[in-house]
Amino acid sequence: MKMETYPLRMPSQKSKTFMSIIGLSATVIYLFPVYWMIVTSLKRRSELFANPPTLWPLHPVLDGYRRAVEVNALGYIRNSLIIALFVTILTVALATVGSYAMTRIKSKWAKWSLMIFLVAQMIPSVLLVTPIYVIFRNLNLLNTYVGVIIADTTLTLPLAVIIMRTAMLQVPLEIEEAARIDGASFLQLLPRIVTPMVRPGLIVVATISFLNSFGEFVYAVSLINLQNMYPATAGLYVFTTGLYGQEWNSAMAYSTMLVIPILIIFVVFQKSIVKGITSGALK
Amino acid sequence: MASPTSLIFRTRKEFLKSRRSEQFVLYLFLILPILFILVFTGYPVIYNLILSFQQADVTTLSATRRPFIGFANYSILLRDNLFWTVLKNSLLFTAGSITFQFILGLILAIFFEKNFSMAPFLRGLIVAGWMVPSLVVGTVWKWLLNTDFGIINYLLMMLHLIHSKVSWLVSPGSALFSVILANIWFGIPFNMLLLSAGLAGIPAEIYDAAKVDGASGIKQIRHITLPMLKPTIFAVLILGLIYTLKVFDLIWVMTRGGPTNATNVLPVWSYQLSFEFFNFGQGAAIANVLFLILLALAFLYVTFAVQREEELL
Repeated sequence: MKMETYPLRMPSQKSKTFMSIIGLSATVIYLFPVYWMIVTSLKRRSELFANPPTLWPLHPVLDGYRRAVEVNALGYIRNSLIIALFVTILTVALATVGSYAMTRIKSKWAKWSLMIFLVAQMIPSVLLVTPIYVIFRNLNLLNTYVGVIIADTTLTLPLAVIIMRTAMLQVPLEIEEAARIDGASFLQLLPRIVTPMVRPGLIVVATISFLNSFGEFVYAVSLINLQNMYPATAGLYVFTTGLYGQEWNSAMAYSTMLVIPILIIFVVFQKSIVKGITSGALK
Repeated sequence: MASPTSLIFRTRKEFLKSRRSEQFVLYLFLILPILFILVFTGYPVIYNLILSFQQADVTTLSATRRPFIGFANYSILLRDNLFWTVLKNSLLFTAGSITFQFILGLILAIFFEKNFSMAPFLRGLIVAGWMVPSLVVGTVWKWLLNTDFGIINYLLMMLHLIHSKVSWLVSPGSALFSVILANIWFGIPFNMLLLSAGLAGIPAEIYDAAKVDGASGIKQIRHITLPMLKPTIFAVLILGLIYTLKVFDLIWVMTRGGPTNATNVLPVWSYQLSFEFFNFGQGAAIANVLFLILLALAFLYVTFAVQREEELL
């Protein structure tokens, strides 16, 4: 029976080629802004204003990148990488222990605590930024990475807990019980037994936290006003709105530099990110 | 069957004692992230609520005591014509973004669900677009939509769709449309991704049966895909509403809410009131209005998510 229904579902070779062409065109059109960003970044300043615009730079040059480096783009990107790294560590640590406890404590409260994170996820940064600014000023955390790291973690932690909870629910309790019989202590369960089993979830949470904190803007621009400490997004914003607003090749070069670390991470972890976003958002 | 724990502990007393300390550790684990959120999100939310009932400007912001003025911040803002403009912009921005993100995302999701060899690769490329930080998306679109040298004006002129260059972000008539356009681009992958996940959950047998009965492709979409996809569609739309109402970076970098408030939405106005006019009380009030709207949507979503979870269990 299966052999009979099978050919019905499979598109013919001809329609497959046709669909590949349409799919490819749709993707090319969709990604055109990214292409244009890269092409513009390689143009000479005079070529930006050419009519008709050139679809590929006549003489690809690195002027834009040189200018971006001059305004400390690399330094800003390094700042953001540091911030994102610590946000990721903090988020993963808190979400792992939290979601583990949430799924192992047999009490209504543990179940209801999920609500805290679901609601926290909805709160807009523009609401938190003023209170956080005042609180951090009193705590002397303005113009420190620690301040931005904490603020960014309020953004990444709720989603991380929600995703990790789903992952933790899938670890059968029998495995932990079996480990206990084999002599593992209670405190060894999480690091030795459970963590390896939720590794896919951990990768998702780590990647999403890293990407979100790397691209975060509101806290980046509000909690730091020492120029050499700017995160990458704040640096880009100041650069594009500042005196050099018409240097689109440099602005696009800076943008491209900012996107490169993200694309590397995305290519490496693509499968798990896609899985994690869908499971975290829909469950 | 003997409980596994009884194998490790000699006496029941010893077992109960260790059981209690284990519970203690678990509660400690749970309280760590909760404490973090209560201190750095819960406390600021309450602080913001109080702030919205106070007169808070640059001179009083750092003071420990600020004059309470009741609902004055809210009533001043409600009487301001700008409030209704901003609310209207928020609605238009959200409705416009969601409608097209959703439709285009759905078309792409259904299209890439078909088995052709390049589908996973192409879908991956489109998802990559979503990884770009919104600040970069805004910067790139600002360049695409540049009046004099932007590629969009050039292409439209070449295709004779416009006769003279449109000042997309500069004129109040087209600015809102322009930021919606950029936000649609930004939101397509998210919609496509979630809808794809929903599509993957529809059993192929149902389509086979429909084909045997002679249902056409469009009929299949109308009578099978869309009804089966309903829970996913609901989740995608509500999540989309919440995310879109919160959009700040994209608009801030493209127009800063201008020209003449044509693209001013609730988050942007709140930030402007606080950090440009240093009227922190009013900024807090607008943020709370936004929060209230989001909370209502969140409540709807959580009720729905819990219901769905119970169905799944």
